[in-house]
Amino acid sequence: MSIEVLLIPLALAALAGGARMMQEAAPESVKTSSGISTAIQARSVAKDRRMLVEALVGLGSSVTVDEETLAATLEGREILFAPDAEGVYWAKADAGAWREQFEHLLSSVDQEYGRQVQLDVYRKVIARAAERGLQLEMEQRDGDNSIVLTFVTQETH
Amino acid sequence: MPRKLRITIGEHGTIRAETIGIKGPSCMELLDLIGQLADAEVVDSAFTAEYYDETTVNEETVGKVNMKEGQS
Repeated sequence: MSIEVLLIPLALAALAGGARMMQEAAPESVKTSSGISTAIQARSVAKDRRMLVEALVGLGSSVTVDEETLAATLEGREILFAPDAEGVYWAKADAGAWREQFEHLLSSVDQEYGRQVQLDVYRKVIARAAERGLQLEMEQRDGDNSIVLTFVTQETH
Repeated sequence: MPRKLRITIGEHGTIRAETIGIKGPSCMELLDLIGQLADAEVVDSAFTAEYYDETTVNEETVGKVNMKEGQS
C-alpha cells in the first residue's frame, strides 16, 4: 500500500462529532395533523432527496412530497424533513411527548439512508470504473456489511 | 507487481480507499480518480510505508552522490 484515503460521499452529511444535537424548533415550522405543542428538530445525515424517500419507504413509512419538504409517518408518528441552506435535511416533529422515540426513529432513518448511499456509491463505482478501464479483480462483502472492491489499474486513466 | 486500487464502501456510506503496488507521488493521481468514481470528497489521507520506499531510496542516492562530491 502507498496511500490510504477516507472519503465522504457528497450525498452524506456528517454529524458534528458523531453526535446528534436536538433543538427546539419554531412551532409554526411543524405543521402536523396532530396539532402543535412542543416542536423539536434534529439534523439528519441526508442530503439527497431521492435516497431519503427510498430510505423512508424502506422503513415502511408513507411519504408525502411537496416542493421542498417530505412528510413521513413512521410507527404512527409524523415527521417532516426539510433541507437547510446547505441542502442537509432536518427532521422536525411535534415530539414533546415522544422525544426518545423521535431520536430512535431518526437514527433508523440515518442508518437506512446510509445503506441507500452505500448502494448508490457501489453502483457508481462499478459503472465508472469500467468506463475508466479499471478491471474489477475481486468483490466481497465483509462481516460488517461493508463492500470491498479491488481493481487492477493501468498507468493512465 | 500489479497496480491496484482497493475501495471499501462502509455500511453507512463512508468510503476507504487504498492504493497497492504504487510507490511515490504517482499514487496521488489516484486521489482525484477515487473522488470522481464515487462522487465523494477526501476528508483524510495518510501515506503508508510503501509510499516512502521510493522516497527513502532517492534520499539515500542523493546522500551518496553528495558524499562523493564532497570527497572529490
